Amino acid sequence: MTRGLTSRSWQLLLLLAAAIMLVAVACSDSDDDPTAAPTASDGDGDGTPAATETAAPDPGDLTEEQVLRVRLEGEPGSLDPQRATDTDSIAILRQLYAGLLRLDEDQVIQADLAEEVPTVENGGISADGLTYTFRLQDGLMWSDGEPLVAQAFVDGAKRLFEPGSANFYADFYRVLAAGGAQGELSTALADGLEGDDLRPFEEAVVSGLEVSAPDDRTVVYQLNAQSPIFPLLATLWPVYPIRQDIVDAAGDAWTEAGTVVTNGPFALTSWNHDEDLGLTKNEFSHRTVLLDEISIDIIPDSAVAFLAYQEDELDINKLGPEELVQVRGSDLVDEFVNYAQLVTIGWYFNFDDPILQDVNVRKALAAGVVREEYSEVVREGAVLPAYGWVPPGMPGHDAEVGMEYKDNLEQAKTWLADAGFPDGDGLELEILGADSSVGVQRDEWLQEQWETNLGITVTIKTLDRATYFEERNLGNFQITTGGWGADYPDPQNWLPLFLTGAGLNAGNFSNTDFDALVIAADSELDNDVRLDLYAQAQTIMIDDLAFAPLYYNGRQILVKPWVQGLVPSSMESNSPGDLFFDQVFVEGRE
Amino acid sequence: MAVAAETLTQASRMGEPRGFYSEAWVRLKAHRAAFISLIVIAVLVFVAIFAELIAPYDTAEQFLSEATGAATIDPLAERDTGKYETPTAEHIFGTDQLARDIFSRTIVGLRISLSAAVFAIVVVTILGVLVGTLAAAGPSIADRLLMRVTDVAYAFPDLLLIILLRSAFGTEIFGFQTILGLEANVVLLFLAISLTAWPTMARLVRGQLLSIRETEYTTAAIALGASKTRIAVRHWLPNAMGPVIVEATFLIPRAIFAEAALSFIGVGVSPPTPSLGLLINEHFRFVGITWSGLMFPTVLLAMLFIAFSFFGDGLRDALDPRSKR
Amino acid sequence: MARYLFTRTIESIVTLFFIALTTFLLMHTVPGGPFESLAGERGVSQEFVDTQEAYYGLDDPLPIQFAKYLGNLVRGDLGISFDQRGQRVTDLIADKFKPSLILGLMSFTIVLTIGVPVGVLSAVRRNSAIDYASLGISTALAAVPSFVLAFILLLIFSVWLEWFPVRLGKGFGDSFSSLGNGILPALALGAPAMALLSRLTRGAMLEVLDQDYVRTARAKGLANRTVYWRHALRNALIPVLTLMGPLFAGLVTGSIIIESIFGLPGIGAAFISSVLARDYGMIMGTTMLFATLIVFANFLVDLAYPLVDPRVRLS
Repeated sequence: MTRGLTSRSWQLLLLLAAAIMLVAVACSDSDDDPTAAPTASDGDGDGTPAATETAAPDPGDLTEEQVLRVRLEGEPGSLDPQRATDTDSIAILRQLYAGLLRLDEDQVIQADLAEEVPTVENGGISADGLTYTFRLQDGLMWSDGEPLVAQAFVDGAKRLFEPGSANFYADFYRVLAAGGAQGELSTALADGLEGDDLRPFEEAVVSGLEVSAPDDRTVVYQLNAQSPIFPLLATLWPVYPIRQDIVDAAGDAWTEAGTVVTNGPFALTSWNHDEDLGLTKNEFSHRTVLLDEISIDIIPDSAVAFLAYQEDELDINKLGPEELVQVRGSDLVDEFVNYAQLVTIGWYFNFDDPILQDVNVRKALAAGVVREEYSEVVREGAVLPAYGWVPPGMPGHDAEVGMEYKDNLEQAKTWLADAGFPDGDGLELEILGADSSVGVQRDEWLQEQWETNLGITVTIKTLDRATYFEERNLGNFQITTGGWGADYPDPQNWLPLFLTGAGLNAGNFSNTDFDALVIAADSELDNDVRLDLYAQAQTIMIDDLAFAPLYYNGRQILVKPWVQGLVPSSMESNSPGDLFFDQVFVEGRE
Repeated sequence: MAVAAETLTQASRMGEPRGFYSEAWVRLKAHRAAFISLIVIAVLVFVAIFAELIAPYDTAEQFLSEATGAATIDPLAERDTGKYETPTAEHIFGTDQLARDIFSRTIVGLRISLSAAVFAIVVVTILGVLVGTLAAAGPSIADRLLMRVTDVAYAFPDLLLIILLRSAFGTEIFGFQTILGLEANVVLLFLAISLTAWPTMARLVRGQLLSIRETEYTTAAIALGASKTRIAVRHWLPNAMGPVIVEATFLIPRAIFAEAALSFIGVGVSPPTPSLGLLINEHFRFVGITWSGLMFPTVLLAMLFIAFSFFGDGLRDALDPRSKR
Repeated sequence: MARYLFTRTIESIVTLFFIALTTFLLMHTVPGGPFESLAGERGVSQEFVDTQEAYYGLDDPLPIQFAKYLGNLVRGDLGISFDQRGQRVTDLIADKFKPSLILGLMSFTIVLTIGVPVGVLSAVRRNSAIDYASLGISTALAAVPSFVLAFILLLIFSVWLEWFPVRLGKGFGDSFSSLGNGILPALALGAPAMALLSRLTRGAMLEVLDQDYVRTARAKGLANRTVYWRHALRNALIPVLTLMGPLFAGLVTGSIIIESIFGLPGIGAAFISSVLARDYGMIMGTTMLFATLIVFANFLVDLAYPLVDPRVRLS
């Protein structure tokens, strides 16, 4: 037993070291990687723009008004950590809350509320890899001054699995459920039980949840299987601590300003729905926060936002394609920053459609578009052409996958002819789209590419958002565009999305080899083996065209010169630099 | 006395060989601005009908430059993409955000917009006049009932109805994919837009007729033995025409913008079909780069509106039995 | 008169009932529900949809749901919003209606105080430079879409002249001084209506100015001014009065475009986004608000007809 533990603990140590190294290497890899994002205008060549060079000052030295004015494009869907799914909400949650761990600018896991990152060495991870013990720092408090105790994390985890809530991100944390209870719930679901019938199973999951707080400063997560990425999961918002007493008292409205109590760098002082949000420095935050206030305006129209930025009413603004062109050759060039995002956009094929079931048709379509034209001419360098699913800048990216669809128009035509549509005669396809100007433009470009390069007939059908998702979920489409953005920088966040029956898998792609590889990788502890399994899976999914990638997204922003310490990141949410707003300060606004 | 004398003159005029409406036509032709406008409208209609023949390019064709395929592309570098071009010899209205020819898209777009406008005017005017007249001419119970129906129709959430019709009918209505050369869902769109505008027209007509029906004309006409229908058509309606025409004219931009707004939400025309309203929407987005894209469809729409306005003026003057022009 | 008021009130209530009924039925017939699109592309499980529907009582048969809704409605409870979880519809609507109401009233005032006199002036000075100028401007205002107009106003007054901030919707309605910021959006909102009203007034005035009793009155020697303003204007006001009903309701309900560009989230945007999100509570709430406005406004207009034109008798 003892010998087993020793070799096991070696493995785990190696695993963790490898994980950290891999993440670090992947980031610096983007130097040499020709498909890496272009550097920022003040860049130092490492693929992500350097944080502005000034050293962090002492809060006492700051003389100017420390207010940051930023923008969101839409109302946050929910400021409930266990329920939020949209990036506007997550951007705010990152300011309001702090978790046990967080990722730093180099995507390395650091301790946040915990004293240190748990490892096998420091006893934070048990030898069998199933128990994670976090020791909280001393003196942690909520924004109302109440002490933050470990129970708050238990409350958060339990809430994630609240019976009847069916929270999307609960799926990510299934490792926390007691194995037996989880299995029975899955069986019940598979048996078609629903609603109230499921309740006893769900309650069993919650009561069997292996999260506990043996004392006020210790949080223990008991996993039902080894999970190589659990530390990454501990950095995310669904396991943020919550004030159960406030949830109990206020019900669904507990997230409103004036009611909610949080523990992050900022507190929510005002929330005028659809209008603006006001965050102020949380005096009780354990992090050093330099800003006094963040004022967030909800501005859906990008032309108006651009005007507001030019009138100094916004300090940071994202640029759309039209604004980008206007920035060229103007003074604003000095305020421009460009960086990659861990986002891949492309289109799904509906595998239930008889025409698209022929792999030759899919391959022809995938090779029948010149991605470089889209990224270079239509989007003018704001995005990068994509041939793989996992984007560059994170582990799991494969620069070689999908190359058969590059510069291969002749082959595309051959494939089409093999499928029985010589010169595209007789093939009529429909792209299903929802409203959105960038989306429509993309669909129109695809349509034109296929009609010109392959000679087929393509129509575009647009629907309002709700009808679109209904039709998409029902599988009433042939081709529809979409994609994914990373929740955390690991292929485990990307590949399982195409498992048979998965939620994002709108086209019903199903490949047993793929499923087997992904499921095996899920519990594989050897990082090299794990990444290799994911690589094989990605190759299958691209060869088989579960998804046809089009571009990797980038972000282009303008930042006022008086904003210091901004750290744009490829992992951020909808507000540029939002992962590290606690490092921002204002100097030189005059 | 003077009034009675005038009425008699009117009555005697009614017996002249040239009827009221043909006299109106003569007067219309004499109204210069209206006549010119009629010609302008005729030209625009001609262009709209033969748009595809007149257009030098296909409306979906993208004249994007070739990609270099370089590994790093600097977003800030100036480059020739073919997009957002100002007017040139090849593209007399310039190109749009996907390097498509704006002139071709504008004149094809004119067709959809003109159809929307005409459809709306016809449906709204007929429905509005019918309901308004019935309400004013009929028994008071009819007035109360019809006006409440109008209220319901006005308060109705039309966006919901449009979404429903869209999903119910999809791309064809009772088997027809195109009606009069227009996509089926576009016709549905026009229908929906019209259904939101007729209540106001009905109330306008009714309002006018409420005051006219009490006038001496009616008394005199009844005295002369005219039937209620005749009274309504020959006496009342021409007097109500003024506001009706103005309101009908304003339906043009309203219908066009409504269609554009709906297309924006995703329940309008299917991309890449252009319509004036949609073009204005799209080109407005890059007005900071070049204004020519926005200008052309806007000017065309303004031309359409002005032409119909002046024509409407002339029509009203022509139909107004008391007008001295 | 009292009898008329009484029956009209009953009719109004019946009308509102029918609007509620048809909206309710339509809402539940339209594809897509409030929960399917919550998670976007990630998709939601059927379990999630079912649980939510059960929680909100959406799995009851429709007649029961409608009856419950009406029951709550008379008690002033408009239900909960699905889109903004935890918010009561009543609170949301009150919150969003306030800026819309203020803006709508400002716009209504501007439209009437500019539109009608301009129309009168054009009619009185027919074919003069003033006439053509006002015709030209009103055409421009009507033929230009509202977001272009709004943006142009922003460019001129917020960027070039810097009289207003670009984000002039911030805090609108909270204080008396913030009302000044409403001028631009009120203008943009009311521009097409101003154009319509001025043309309508002009046309109606022209008709009336040629009529016999005006000439009779002039023959009787009344001063020009009185002729114009008393006899002509009164009659010309009939179509204007008719339009005031839908105009008031329409301006107060606002426009999602104006609200979006000026940052004044009001009822207009609330309605559109509630339809798109299938937020049943908000759809019913905003529709009933709008319905009440229009029914009430038209009621007042009908009462006002005899005041303007003594010949008109109430039904």
